[in-house]
Amino acid sequence: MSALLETRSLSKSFGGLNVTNNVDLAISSGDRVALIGPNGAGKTTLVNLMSGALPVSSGEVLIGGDTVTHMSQQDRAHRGLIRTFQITRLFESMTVADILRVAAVQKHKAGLKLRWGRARTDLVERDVERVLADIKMQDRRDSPVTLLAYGEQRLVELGVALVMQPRVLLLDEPAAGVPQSESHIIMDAIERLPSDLGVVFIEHDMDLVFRFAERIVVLVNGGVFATGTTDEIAANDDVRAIYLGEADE
Amino acid sequence: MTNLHRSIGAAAVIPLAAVALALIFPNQQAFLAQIAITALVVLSLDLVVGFAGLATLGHAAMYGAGAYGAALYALHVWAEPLTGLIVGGLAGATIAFLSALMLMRSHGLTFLMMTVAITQILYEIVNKSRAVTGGDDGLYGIVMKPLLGVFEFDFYGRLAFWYAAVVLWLVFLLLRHIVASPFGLTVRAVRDDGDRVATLGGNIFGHRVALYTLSGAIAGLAGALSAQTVQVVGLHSLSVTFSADILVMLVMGGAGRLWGGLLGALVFMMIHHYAAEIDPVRWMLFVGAILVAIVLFLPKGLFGGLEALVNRLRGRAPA
Repeated sequence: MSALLETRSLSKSFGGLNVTNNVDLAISSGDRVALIGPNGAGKTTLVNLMSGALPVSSGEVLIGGDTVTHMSQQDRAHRGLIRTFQITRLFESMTVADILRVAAVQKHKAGLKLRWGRARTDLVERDVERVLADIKMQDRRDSPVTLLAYGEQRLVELGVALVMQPRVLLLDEPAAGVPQSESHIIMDAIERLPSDLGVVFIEHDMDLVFRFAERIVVLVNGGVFATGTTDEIAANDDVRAIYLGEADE
Repeated sequence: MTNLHRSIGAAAVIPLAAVALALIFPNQQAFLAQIAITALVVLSLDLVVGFAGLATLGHAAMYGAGAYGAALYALHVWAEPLTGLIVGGLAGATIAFLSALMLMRSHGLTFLMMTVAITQILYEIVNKSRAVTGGDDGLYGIVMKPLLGVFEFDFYGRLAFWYAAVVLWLVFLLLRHIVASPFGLTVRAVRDDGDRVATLGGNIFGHRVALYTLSGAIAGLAGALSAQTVQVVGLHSLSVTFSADILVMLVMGGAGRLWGGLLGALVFMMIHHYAAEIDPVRWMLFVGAILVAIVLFLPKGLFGGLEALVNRLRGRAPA
């Protein structure tokens, strides 16, 4: 079976600067892959290349074995690749339920429809209710999103991705900016993700990385510096020197 | 109040306001017709500016296309009003669709400049095509057949007012429906963060083109109403000045809310009418001063201010 998401010799340079360097990755169903590395290692760039937010300089991106290197973000989304953002990007004029509804409307390709109709309403509302339950925000459905605490906003950001029922989910620092006291809410939600989903997440907090990841990919200067199971990476002296050592500062 | 009550209440506002205005200003029906037509074009502008978040100074292109389209149709083909109305709507939609194919790839200032450029080009084409459009003399001598074959257009503008008010009402009801539809929801999401919608698989370009075309069709209807009721079409209907006027009305009333467009058109036209009577030369000063006050004190426009006031009186927190 081909990988859900794969990159082959993926590279990106801005001018003379190589921010992504010959990255080969394969994500399969059920994978929990943590992408770690020092600041500027090219983690977010890699997510942007995979999701189609940035054009690649060379190399390939494949979803389910099909080349999508030159496809738009929206086409990749329809193929089951969904991402979240490091800085929350929600529709600021809307309530929690409406934001999830926007996602559900796109999922059911109803964005140009002028009528709700009973069948479509049912489909969309079922998705909205499912995710509200997943992220445990039923009581916040009618809150304007701008009035939520940041931790809750991060949860909605994750919820938007969950509405889409992706096959591969790219999470860019899902708990970034969330106070320690609230971060368990996000982590609990991530823990409940469907087991067949392929998940790639960028994270700085090593406790979280070791709690969730089965495999760790260490990026340094745009290239894959090391890859392995959590135990292997934890025991890797080079990684400790380059990355974990710095993180302890 | 249930949602049903709310919608019935909202649907009744325009007919009630029309009757009230007709009673208060019995001898000014032609002016009232102008208000209804202007409200219609401001409503269409609100789709682009308020709901899609695209600032434009080129909305007159579609209004003018509708006006000239309906005028030419009445003069050369058939002077029947309702088919003429459809022709005007189609003319506005066509111009909107064609320009949207270019416009909707650009953003911000580029977009704004392109809307101005397209309107100027259209203005010059119409200006130079004297044989067809009358150039800067415009088109006149438009005499419409009775509406529905029964109601004659009268000198006092009585029919004109009711005709325009009914079209405005129907379009308003349609837009209320569309704004709440999956399409309307997506358009607002694209306004807030288009790229985010793309990452969810939404087609931003398609949404913007569809919305602009819809807005153009409604602006075209307004233009057609103007041509049929005023019986004259001039270059002003295609000008950037007119585009700016309706933008001012929208901002005064409150962009992003359908009521805002209606209220803005009503208030602006009233001020214009009475201020120009008092001082025909400097009336724009009044409008300018009022606009400055609104932008400073009521950032959500008159309707936003009104809503905040009502909420406060009811002791509720603002939404």
